Amino acid sequence: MPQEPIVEIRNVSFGYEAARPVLRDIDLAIERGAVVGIMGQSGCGKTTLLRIIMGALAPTRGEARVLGHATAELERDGLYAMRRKMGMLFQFGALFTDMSVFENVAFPMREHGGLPEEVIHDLVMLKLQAVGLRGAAHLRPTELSGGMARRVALARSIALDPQLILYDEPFTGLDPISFGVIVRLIRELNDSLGATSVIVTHDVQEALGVVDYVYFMAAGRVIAKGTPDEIRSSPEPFVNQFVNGKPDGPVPFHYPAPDYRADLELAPA
Amino acid sequence: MSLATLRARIERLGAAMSSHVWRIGYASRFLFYMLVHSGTALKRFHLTIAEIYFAGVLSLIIILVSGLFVGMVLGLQGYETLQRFGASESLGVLVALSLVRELGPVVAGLLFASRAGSAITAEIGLMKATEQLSAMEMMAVDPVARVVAPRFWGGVISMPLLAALFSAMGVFGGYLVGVQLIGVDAGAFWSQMQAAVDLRNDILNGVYKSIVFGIAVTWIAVFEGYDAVPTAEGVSRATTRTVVTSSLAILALDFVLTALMFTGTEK
Amino acid sequence: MNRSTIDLWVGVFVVMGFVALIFLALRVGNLASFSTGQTYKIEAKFGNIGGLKVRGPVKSAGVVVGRVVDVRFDNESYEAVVLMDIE
Repeated sequence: MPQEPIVEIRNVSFGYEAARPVLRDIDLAIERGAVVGIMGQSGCGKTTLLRIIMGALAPTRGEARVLGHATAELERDGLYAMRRKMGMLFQFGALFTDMSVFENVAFPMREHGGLPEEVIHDLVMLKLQAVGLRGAAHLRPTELSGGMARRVALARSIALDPQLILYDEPFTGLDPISFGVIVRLIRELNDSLGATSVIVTHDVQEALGVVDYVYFMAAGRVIAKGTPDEIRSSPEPFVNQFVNGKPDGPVPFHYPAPDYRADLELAPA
Repeated sequence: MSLATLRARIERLGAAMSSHVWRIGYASRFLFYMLVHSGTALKRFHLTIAEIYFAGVLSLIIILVSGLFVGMVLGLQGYETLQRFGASESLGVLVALSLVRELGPVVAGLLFASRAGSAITAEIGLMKATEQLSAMEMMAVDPVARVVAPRFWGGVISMPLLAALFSAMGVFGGYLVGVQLIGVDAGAFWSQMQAAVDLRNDILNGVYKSIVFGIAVTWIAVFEGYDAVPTAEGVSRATTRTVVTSSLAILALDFVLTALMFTGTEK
Repeated sequence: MNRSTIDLWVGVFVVMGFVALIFLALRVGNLASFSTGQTYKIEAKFGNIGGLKVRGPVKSAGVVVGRVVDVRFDNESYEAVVLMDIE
């Protein structure tokens, strides 16, 4: 019997107001063990889609199934039970600034109770070792660089060995070395935990190097999907402009404006 | 002014009013939800104790110093006026009753709102803006129970203690100025005070006031923080709103409580 | 700032607050003058109670000898009836 995909989005539409849909007729399936990228321009709706997968938003039409449950049907307790099997890395880490690195990673372990302090200590050290920051356990978030903070947040998101890991723009603002570290960690952690990863990003080249499959979005729709090679050679003009970073194409360089000569107050030619 | 602009202005006014009323309803639901989910704050009491530290202990200096100065001014001003009626020996009565009934709860409440209230709003608002609250939600921890409720109870517990300290320091300040500086008779100062200040009518009512103010200020502070727009500008506006709304609430509630407690038949 | 330091300061703060309350109750208010000895009750009628209040002092030769316990109105004689505890 084929396994149900970890994440299944069927015909989902969403809008904060009825008149302006943010997502239209999205169909998506993410298999167990895969690293999937959801890419597109800023404002194309990819972060909203991530929130629907998280269960923070309910689709206005269609169904979102995550880890076997329809997210819209879950009550608060069911939602929290589902989230205990998920981990999420927020854009800038979202570390708790009033706690040390150790306490940040220990937080989910302590809140979901039952483990004695010695076990928690060892588990935290394990997670920090996996991201290469075991020596920084006593530091505070304000003492960390952006890349280090991101890695600590990653350690925290895998604290309870999740089945599904979500990444919201994990590469934003990182220097090339930290970039490489995060890329390596995403793949390593996914494989060693036997988890599934979903990465929302607009860092095309690096993401194409790490994902198994890509969903490409524009204006709330999925306009292309495929393996990284298929996306790189996609005939779709918008995908082409995006992947190759061309300044002009389906997304124009000039913001709509009146006639140039008229703006400069010159007589018409 | 045309009829259309007049109508537009009235519509805007109506919308502003109804949005304020709606907001109070929303804030009330928030308060109810938080009270229901206060289990964590009470079971893991060290969380609340940490908040008593941040709201109460860190406000001690400003409360004690202000209390002292207010009491000293009362001593000066009070003596100045009373000695004109030959009633300077009643200075103790004037200082004590002013502080215990009104100035203690009200001024301590206003200082608490501007120091601790704004800090609570800024802290919660900043956690919201940096997605720490969302991260908590994603880790299946209710941020209202874990972050908001301990701060609420910390503030509610701190406020009456701060008001009592303010009044006590004020009485001492009045004593310093009246007896030590000006030379009002110490015996008269204290004995007339004790005869006139009633435990139940005056002191206890003052404590009730400070409890009500504590609940109002802390409720406003946590709500504005939790509801803040998650940007730097949003947090700063929320902090300002906390101080302004809390101050108005204290003064309005003070009127209502004073009318209920101190007028009419006294028993 | 570790947990035990915070606990210490919070403890100090709470103790200070209660000391302030006790100070207000005893030295500023009239709690100390509640007597625990034997008292006998006197009822007196007045044409007008003036500023008399419950728990107000009853003095003889300037010394506080009792407290006002209750103030009522007599519907038949149209006078105020004051009940006092005298030591």
